Amino acid sequence: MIIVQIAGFLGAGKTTLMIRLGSELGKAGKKVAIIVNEVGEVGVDGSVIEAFGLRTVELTEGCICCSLSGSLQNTLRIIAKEFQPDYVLIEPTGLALPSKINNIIRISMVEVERNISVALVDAYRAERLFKETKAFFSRQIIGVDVVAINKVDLVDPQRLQEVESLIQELAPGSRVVHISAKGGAGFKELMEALGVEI
Amino acid sequence: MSEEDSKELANAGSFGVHLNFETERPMSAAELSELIGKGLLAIGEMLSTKEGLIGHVKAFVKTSEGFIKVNLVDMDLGYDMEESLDGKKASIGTMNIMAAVVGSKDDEVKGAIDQAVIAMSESFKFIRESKGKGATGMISLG
Repeated sequence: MIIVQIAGFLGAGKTTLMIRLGSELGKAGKKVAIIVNEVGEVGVDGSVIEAFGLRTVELTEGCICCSLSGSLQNTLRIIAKEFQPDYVLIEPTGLALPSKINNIIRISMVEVERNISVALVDAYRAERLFKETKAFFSRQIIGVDVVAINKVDLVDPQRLQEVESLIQELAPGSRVVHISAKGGAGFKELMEALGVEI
Repeated sequence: MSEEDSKELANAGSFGVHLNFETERPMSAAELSELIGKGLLAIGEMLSTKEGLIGHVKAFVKTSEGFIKVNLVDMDLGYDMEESLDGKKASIGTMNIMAAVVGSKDDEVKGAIDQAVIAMSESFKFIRESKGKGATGMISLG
């Protein structure tokens, strides 16, 4: 079982990438389970993903990196035992810290072939996000396997370069790819960077 | 905080509401999304920070004809919409509205959503099931 965590700040495009990845893995004949977490009791993302024909487990009213860590562990165990998927895709809330989720997965007592994490960064809002929430922003990208700068179609090349510099300043040595989760640009490169075969 | 809480670390608040709705006449996806989009923009307007950050304000409408998803992450970009009504019109359905916003508390987010829902009730007859923090029960609007 391979776990892919798609993290990133609120509105970074996680659900859009999740739908694209889940659909592509399904088309490739892979058995996929999706765990979606929303911070409030009433969610939207689980319904959106299901509307695209993908089955999800939605964990609400808290964050799986802290208050709902036990729920994540239990859900992973149940999925591993009863569904035995090739891939488990996890979409945490936009307020989650991917490194904490990785730790929770490590101690969840499920057999994991690989645990991969990607942090999405919204190219259009990255600079403002950096100004307002620098410490939090950096904790969302430090320690992930790949940082994917999303919504590249909304910014010019110079701004894209500035966002990449920002990421390297916060998390030096990060592997960075440029994508448009909506349009599909860079998706293949992201999968290659993550080592996901589709 | 006794244990690190990422929502507190991000200084963010959130709230969500599930509504059952009915419109006076069947509406297209464009008409419905415009009404919902205006509601989301009103929420964003009330909660945006000095840098203009709003986190994520979103709505998902489910009808027997298909779904409509409306998203707002930036006031300058405005809202975007995705739908599967395929040209059909809808008048009855469910609507989830959820906002997670930086620099706001849960009750401020709830207040903004409540105001937007009241404004939207000029176009939608709502039966609201409030499940977010600090709100319970069914409220009939419109």
